[in-house]
Amino acid sequence: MSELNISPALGPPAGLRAMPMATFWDALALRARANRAFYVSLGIYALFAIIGLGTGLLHSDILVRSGIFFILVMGLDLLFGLGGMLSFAHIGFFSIAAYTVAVLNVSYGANIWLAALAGIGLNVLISYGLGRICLRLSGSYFILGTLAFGLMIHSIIVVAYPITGGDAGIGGIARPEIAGITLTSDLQFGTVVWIIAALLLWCSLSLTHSRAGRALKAMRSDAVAAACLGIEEARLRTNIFVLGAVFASIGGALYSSYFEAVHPESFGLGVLVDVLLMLFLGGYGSIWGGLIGATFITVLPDLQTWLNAGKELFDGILFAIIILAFPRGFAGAIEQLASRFVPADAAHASRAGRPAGTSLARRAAVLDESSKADHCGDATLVVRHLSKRFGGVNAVDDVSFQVAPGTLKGLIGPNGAGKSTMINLITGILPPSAGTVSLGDKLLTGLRPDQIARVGIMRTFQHERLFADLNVVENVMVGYGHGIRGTWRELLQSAVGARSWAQEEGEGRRAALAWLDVLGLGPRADDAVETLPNGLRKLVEVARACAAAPVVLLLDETAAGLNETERLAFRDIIKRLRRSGITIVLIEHDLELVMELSDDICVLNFGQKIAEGTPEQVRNNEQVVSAYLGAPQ
Amino acid sequence: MIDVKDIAVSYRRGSDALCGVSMSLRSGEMVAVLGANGAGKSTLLRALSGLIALRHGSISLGGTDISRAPAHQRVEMGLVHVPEMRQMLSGLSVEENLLMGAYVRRRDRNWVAEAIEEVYRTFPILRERRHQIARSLSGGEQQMVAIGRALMAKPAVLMCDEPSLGLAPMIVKDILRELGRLRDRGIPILLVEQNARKALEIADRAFVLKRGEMVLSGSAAELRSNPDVKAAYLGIA
Amino acid sequence: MGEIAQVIVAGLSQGSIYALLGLGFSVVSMSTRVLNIAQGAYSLVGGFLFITLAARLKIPVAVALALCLLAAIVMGVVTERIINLSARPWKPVSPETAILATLAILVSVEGAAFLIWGPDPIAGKPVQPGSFRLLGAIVPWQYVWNIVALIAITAGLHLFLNRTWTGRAMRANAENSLMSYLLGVNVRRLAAISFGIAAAIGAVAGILTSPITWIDYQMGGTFMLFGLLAFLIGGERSIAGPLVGGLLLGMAENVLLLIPGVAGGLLKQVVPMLALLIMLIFRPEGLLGRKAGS
Repeated sequence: MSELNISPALGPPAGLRAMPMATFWDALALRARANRAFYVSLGIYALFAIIGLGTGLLHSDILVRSGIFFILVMGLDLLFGLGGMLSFAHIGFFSIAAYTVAVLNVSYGANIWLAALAGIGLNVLISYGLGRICLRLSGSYFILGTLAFGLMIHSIIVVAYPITGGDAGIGGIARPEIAGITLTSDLQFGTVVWIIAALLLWCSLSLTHSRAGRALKAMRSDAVAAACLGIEEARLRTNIFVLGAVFASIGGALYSSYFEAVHPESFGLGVLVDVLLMLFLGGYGSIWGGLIGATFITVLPDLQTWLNAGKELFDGILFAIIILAFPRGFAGAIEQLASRFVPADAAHASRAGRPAGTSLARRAAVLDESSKADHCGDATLVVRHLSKRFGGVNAVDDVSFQVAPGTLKGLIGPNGAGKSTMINLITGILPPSAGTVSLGDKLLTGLRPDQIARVGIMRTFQHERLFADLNVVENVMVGYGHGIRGTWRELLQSAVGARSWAQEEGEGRRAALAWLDVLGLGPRADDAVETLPNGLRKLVEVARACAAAPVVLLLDETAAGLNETERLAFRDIIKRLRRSGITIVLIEHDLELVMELSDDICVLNFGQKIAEGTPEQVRNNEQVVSAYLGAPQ
Repeated sequence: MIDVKDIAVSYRRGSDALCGVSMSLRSGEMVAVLGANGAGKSTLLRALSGLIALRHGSISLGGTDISRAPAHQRVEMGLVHVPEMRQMLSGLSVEENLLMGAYVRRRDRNWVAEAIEEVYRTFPILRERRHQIARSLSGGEQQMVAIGRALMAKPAVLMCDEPSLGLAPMIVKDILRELGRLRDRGIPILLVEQNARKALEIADRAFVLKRGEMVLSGSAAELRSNPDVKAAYLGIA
Repeated sequence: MGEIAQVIVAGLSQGSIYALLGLGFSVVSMSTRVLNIAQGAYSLVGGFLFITLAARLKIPVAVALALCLLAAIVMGVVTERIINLSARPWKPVSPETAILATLAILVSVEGAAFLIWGPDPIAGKPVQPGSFRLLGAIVPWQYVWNIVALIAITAGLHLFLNRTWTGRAMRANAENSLMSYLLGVNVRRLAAISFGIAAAIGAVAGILTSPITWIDYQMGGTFMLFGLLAFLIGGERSIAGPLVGGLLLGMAENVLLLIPGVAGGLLKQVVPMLALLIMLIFRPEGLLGRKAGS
């Protein structure tokens, strides 16, 4: 099933594998800690609901409507807050499901639950198709494509009056039945809606705090770096897009059954704006923020009837203020307050992942031991006649070299010599114009970056590419475990929050912390990436690549911009990696470092290989000296 | 002409791209800024032209402090930056690129007409190609447009970032010779170059940056024979 | 024969309006890479305000026109300032934020229009009533004015962009914003100017639409959509692009109207969106545009 045998060269340190297995209750506890703010808001909401409904200030249909829109907003939050996809097609799927239920129930007498399933199924098919089309587009164009789809659906609904009833809509939809009881009252229907919503909330939160969730956030921050860590972008994105459509479908089916009728007005641009407002008011990315947003916007017209005429104006201005001044919404505000009053949270969480009572030196020693025990693969990295042309320029011109397993090869050359292009060719980011790259007998040319990463080739980037939306230890954890492929199995496992999830999380965190400790970055593990100076960030990138247990490690100008201390830490970790038998390619301008660490060196200039040999040979090569300083007179 | 006092620049909190750099440039001299990739050469030019803010220190042009002045104001005062990789206005013609060079002097119609004639005299091939789209020119021709464009702004100080990058040796010789001629006409030039030897041939003075700090400076003649220059580039102790 | 001529004439007239709407997007895209959803709002306000001033308050047409343009320009500049509130040269506003913020502005303006002018659609007076016959088609004079407006505005834009320093600076900025900045161009001021121009053009489109198609407060979205379509089909950052896109759209729409019944109505609604999706898949740079990065 797996493509290749990935060598466990640098798996979690041996001593740590003996830790006890996490139980389901550990998983629960971990999640509860992470979502403290959610429980507080849930409590406030429940209080508010009881008072409002009890005193008759609010109508009972609020219960149902806010629940349905909460489900809708949750779906959009998964798409945008987690996946970075602002899909304006969401209401389109909502309406398709609603109308499917309406048509099947009224015209064909189908049972509501079956009709709902049909609606979900239809949307799954359509969203797969739409996803294929739109997910290739970037930024504004993606939004436009989904907007076009949404509006198209709306127009079709209005115009296809034989089926959809046109402007008049369809009426007479039945209420669903459970165990013989028809859900006629608001309280009955509302309870069912909220049970469904709670289940979906549980699954969404689990997904957010899982490896899949982390992979999505990584992909959203930097798709290229994510691919180079083995994350299969296309599949993950598409599946989340479909998942979002499923949430919209559930909402749509509930909507049409509750109101017992559907009209095109309920699914127009105005509703899209309402849902967006709910999402941003509540706070995107939190998942539970939709609770606040959906309830507030649903309740608003009821509380202030005088607002009716000016509702659209009010909505628009509120929306503008939120987008520009409070983009993280209510949930963001709560989280900021919470972090000020409960700073101990972070320390607690990180201590939970750390082996008790071990010193830095002991942990480092454990890493060494395990590394020596599992020997690396014996494959040679072979670059054969590799060329890359851009327009009329040969960025890389017929370059061939080999890197014997377990050795360190330096790759040097002046600015513009083609070194980074070479790395991009090897890791699959750029397709070569000619030539091949292979690891042992496995041909790498033509594979996607995430496939090459899963073979065991990891890299760092010349201009550091950490994931801005994740903190330091989370960044390193993305590497652990050979990347995520975004299959439905992975997503469902994460959503349900199985025991294996907790175990994986624990293992991953421990391994990440071990690597950070070795680099001296332990104390900064829970910090946001932007608080770290440039040099430390590059070291975090190295930790990230190492946590992925690579067979071959490509380091692209890591030493640039490091101060003396950081440089020494870098040099030490390279030496440690050498001892473990990893193959390393070191691209550097810091020639002192290269000369000291390399077994042999390859020199490029203007895309061509001009010299190759031991450090001593290369240093005294006149061509190399000319390449750097310019030709003598 | 231009005085830089102890400037520090950082792209992100906690790490300096430049630190403690001081230098000055006088009329009629060409100063070369040397150093390995990532040493901070381009950063220095960006700090001078206003693309990045100073964390510390001051810059003054002709006696006026410009440390906080926005980029377009510095151009109006005569500080012209020719960035690396030529940066053509690709869809515009050669003539339009040159005219945009004179944007800050647009109100002086006489100057614009004279200046463009002068550029065509200096680079005759541009006159032939005046209506051609900039995108379709060769690298060398584009570099000529870049320098011609800088001249159109009536520069008081000219800063060139790696003009020889990606160009064939013959063309590099021509371009650098033109820069020399400009220096002879009295325009002070700050030349950033990776190709140390070529730069030291035409410059009057030079200094070497390493990891954001100035490590060597002196006359071009001195540095030409200084083994430390080679060490600073090749990392040999 | 008469039918074909009718379709062509109607197509050109409607296409002119679409082209004007598209030009609004195109002009903005020259100074920033923002998609201004609020573009529809300028047309909405232009149309409503002109009817109120000229027809209801009986203000002379030329003065009413000037006031409408002024109002639109102010709205345009304000839009730019709002979006770029927190933007800096090194940190431009993200596409999502820009689209959401301009969407919010569009919704606000529609809401204000609802409050001021009520829910019912209103119609404007044609600039010149009556019609004449041409090759078997009935051509209302309003059609002619639409086409004339398009030609005049296009010519004006062309002169502005190619003969004035500011126009040249705008084209330079569209090519290479960094270099323009280094050449002394005040990029923020340029953005404000381009938004102002785009808003003015949008207002004209709204004014011209009101006699033919009754406008109501919800048409802001419709204006925006058709402008976007014309812009994307034609290709961004050019004047010719929206022209081609708009005219094609206008022609296609009128041809499809010939198909009777549900099918025709369906096609008329669906084809524009479908066309957009197809373009986004196969040729995102538009018919006349150039692939990014070449």
